[in-house]
Amino acid sequence: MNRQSSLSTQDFLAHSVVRSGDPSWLNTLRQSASDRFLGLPGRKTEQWKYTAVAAQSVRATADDADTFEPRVPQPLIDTDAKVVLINGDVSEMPGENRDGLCVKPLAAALQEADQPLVDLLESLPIDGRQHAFSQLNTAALGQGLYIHVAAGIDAGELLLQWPCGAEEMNHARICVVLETGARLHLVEQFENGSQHPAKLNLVEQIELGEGAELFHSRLQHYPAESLLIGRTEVRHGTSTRYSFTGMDLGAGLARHDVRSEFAGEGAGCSLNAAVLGSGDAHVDYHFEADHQAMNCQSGQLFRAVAGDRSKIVFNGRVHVAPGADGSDSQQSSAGLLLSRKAEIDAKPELEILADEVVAAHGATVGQLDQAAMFYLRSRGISEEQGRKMLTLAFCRSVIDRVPHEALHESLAMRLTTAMDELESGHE
Amino acid sequence: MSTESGTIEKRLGQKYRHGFVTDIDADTVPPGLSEDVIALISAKKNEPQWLLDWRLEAYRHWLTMEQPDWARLDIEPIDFQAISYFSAPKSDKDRPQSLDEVDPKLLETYDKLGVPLHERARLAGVAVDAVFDSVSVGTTFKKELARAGVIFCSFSEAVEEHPDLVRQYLGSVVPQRDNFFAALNSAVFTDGSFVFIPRGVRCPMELSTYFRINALNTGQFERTLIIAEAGSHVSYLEGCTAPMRDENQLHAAVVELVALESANIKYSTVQNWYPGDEEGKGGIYNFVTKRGMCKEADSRISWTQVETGSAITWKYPSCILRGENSVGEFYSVALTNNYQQADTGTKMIHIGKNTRSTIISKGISAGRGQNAYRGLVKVLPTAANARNFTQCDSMLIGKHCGAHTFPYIEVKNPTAKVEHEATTSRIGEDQLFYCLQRGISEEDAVSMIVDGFCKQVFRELPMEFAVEAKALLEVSLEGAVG
Amino acid sequence: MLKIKELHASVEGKEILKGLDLEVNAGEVHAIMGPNGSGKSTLGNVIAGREGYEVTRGEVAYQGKNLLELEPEERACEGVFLAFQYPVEIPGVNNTYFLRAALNAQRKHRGEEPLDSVGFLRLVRERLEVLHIGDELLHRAVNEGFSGGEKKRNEIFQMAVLEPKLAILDETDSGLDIDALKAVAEGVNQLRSPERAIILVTHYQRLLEYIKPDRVHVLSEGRIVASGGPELALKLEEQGYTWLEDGGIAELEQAAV
Repeated sequence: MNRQSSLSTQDFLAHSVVRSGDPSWLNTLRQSASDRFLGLPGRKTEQWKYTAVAAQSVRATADDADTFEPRVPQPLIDTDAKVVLINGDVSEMPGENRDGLCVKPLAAALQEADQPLVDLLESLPIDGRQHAFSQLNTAALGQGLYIHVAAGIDAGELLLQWPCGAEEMNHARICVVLETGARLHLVEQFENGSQHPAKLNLVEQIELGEGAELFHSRLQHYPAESLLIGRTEVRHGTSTRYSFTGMDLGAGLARHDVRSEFAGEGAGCSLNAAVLGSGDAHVDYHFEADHQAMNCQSGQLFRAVAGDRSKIVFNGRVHVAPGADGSDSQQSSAGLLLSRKAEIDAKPELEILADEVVAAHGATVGQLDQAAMFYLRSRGISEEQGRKMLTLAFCRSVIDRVPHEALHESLAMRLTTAMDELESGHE
Repeated sequence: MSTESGTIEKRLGQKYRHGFVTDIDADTVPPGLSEDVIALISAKKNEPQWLLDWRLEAYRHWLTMEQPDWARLDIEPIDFQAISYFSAPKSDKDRPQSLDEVDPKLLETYDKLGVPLHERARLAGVAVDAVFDSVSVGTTFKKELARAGVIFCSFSEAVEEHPDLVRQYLGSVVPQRDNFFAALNSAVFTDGSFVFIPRGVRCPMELSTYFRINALNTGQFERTLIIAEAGSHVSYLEGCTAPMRDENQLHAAVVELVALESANIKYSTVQNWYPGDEEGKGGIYNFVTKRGMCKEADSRISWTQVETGSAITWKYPSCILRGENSVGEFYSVALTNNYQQADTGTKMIHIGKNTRSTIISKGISAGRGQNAYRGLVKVLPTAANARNFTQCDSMLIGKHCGAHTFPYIEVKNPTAKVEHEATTSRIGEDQLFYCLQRGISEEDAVSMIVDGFCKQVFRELPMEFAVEAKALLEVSLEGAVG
Repeated sequence: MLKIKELHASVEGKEILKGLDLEVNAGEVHAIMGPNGSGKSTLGNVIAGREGYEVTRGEVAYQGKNLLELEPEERACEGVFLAFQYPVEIPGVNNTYFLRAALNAQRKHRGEEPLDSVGFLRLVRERLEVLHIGDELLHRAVNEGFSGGEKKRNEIFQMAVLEPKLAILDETDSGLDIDALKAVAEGVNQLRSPERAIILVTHYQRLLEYIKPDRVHVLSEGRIVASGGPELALKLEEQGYTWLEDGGIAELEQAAV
């Protein structure tokens, strides 16, 4: 990521973002995002310090599809509740919605303009350059999905597949509303059926009504040179739960911002990710637990294995607002460097403004446990195999958070395969 | 356990004990900063041309820089043209040659501060280079040090007596352009301390300096340079106090340490400059650049700091671990009370093979204090087998304060091992209750617990200082829990 | 089977073994006793090939091969097994998976077909039964959260599955209560066979009440200072290790003749 941002605002937002025929509130939203765009973040923007964005790979939004032959990969799990979004556009919907689960293309939902959806879209926090991609996303608002789960419904699994490969960057938005006591497991597969690189800028907004629970599992295995910018904003009502588990095995640049904001008391989140960096991949995770209400609990778990020339970044932030007593936050991040050309950067932050708080974090970067390695070898297991076993075990604590057994298996297998494919392994 | 905030605040209202002003006719340059002022400072100090050029180069670069805003600090804008950049006691030309010639009022000042220069220095075997505002006025034990070959003098004196050494090392660890405040310091620094320990010499005593900011609206720009040649050892102690003032006073010092092969430098600071009043009015801005270079193999630099004063503290004593097997250490206690803010920590830059670093940071926040640890551990590709261990604990006393941790870990060598641990919690209620149940008063219990919390750092301080640091912490914390 | 000659080894630059000689034949059980710091654990680790244990002089021949030239896993595949004094916890690695990987690596080395999971489970269950160990440890991660006794039993269980030719039990008795000790000893006794050599490294004579050694060696300051039959262990127990320094060695040597 040595290339400097060189494109100006005009390059991104050269065309008018207003679309005739769309409701005026929507065009106002697009236009104001476009007006406030300050350019892409560079090293000076703290949240992008370790991920200076290459502007060249990010172009203005365009509606026109192009030569990319979409090939949809094997679905990660077997389910009839499956949506395929090609270049951010819905191309395949579930034949029939389950009771209480409503999934519709965002474009249609925007025309209907349900109040909860409009509120959600208008509430997305935007902060200068830090959220430059969100601004681009809002300026291009139109693609994506609206997912709604009615009160008290357990909607099971919903799989989203994201084959993507247009020349231009695609901007997609997923809005998820879980009503009181609702439950959903959102599974996302960022993968192409071919080696065509993806360019996707995704914003997800999740609203959890009282007692609602969302599991969110994500596999990112885009081809090399792909660009994925993903931002997930979760607003927690009282006693809600959000569990995120991400696994990254590919991409040129993948950036995930996942933020849980506790607006209601007694809520909890568990943010987990495992990254295996190979080739020239650059994967950057930003987790944030924002404790605004009392008695909320947050956990963050991050495991990074950096091989080849990869660079893995973890920024885990915990913020406890004044008065948010009873907050409990734990964070653990660990990195393994396998190669002399790889790099791991970690920034586990705590910002605590209330006193009845338990907050702790631990971060390590190093090698596999040598005692464990000798133990394996002393039983006849080769160094190579031992390294694989221990590296898998290292990531296991993250994958084990996935509640769905078949998905769990599938992720574990993917990880093993990816490990086998590491170009250089160790040096 | 009741922790009524009203009681806390009332009892936290501890008056600053070192608040008084010494009435000395100061030779002060009118406020303002320009190339002329810099030339004037340089001329007043009889500096050689190269040093003036060096200052001007720094100044010209400073003009192109912006005051950084990345720290978690709320800083009132500083008017750099309203600061006077030079203030020396009246008799500049015929400065006192020994302590006997020092203005008795000055010595009285030190007495009030609890630094009886004569007795204490002699009794404790401490050589004290007292900095009163900007010019060094008295140095003790010079002869004994000279016998060992140790040079310990004011920076100005070093410029005159040892220009080659100064020229060789000045700016070699903190370049003129390093950062906004270091550039400012490089342009306008007035005095400071210079230490040179020759090859193989173990400095026969602890070296100590007392800083004191006295004149109204006088920024103090200290420059300290310590060079430890191969195989030498030195322990340097720095204590700072400033009188009570309503206006904020800027202190932007630069400290450079150079450790050559197998040299060992221990640098200890107890800082209790005026923190401002209960409303957050006044107090010192303590914006300091401290950095040590473990230049050659097997060298070691150890920073220990106890920061209880200043309205705003912004400092990161750091180590550049260039030499193979070199060791960097940082032990810190930072306490913020009332409206004090601190953003402090360290940088450990691992360059050489088998370099090791340890960071122990203890932050205590009370009142409306904001206390941030900010640290960088960077392992470059060349630093095979580098090791770092960081432990960073914060304690909160009261409902309106904040404790923050911002560690940066950057690792580019697969044989390195970096470990970071951090915790934040309020003062242990069960510990407090346990003490109370055994009949220990609440205040004693708090200071006992806080002392225990800081023990790992205190035991790194030289004995003399450890006692003082502990007492200082107790004073600053009196009644922190009601 | 094992021939150690004039072995010198050091850890972090400090010489621990200072000219150790030992010969163990197939079918024999040898006990090596000695006070703390005499080099008992070092011997086991050197034979198993642990990094950081540097052999500065001497030879270790195993079945006619120079053992010191082999990687730790090659030694294991050749039939050398070390039961660790402190078995390592490996979170995230399932015990069964681990053991199967080890067994199949060793089988591959011997040119045998790998065992499939059915065959492997059959073998494992059979061994568990013989050793009177429940199968719950199969489902857990390697040694993770195991009690001291469970860890030691797991070592013996692994030994039973891997069927080594030379087993070194490094203070397998330490930290065990009497029931666990008996169970471990019983396991070891069942594994005695004419093809297998066992070296028991221990501080106390206690273990030897349950496992009868053929030979007892006394290790002191990095050397074997006396060798004899089981009665040597009793003598040592009676007199205590401090007695060694007070001229006891000479006495022992006479007793051993």
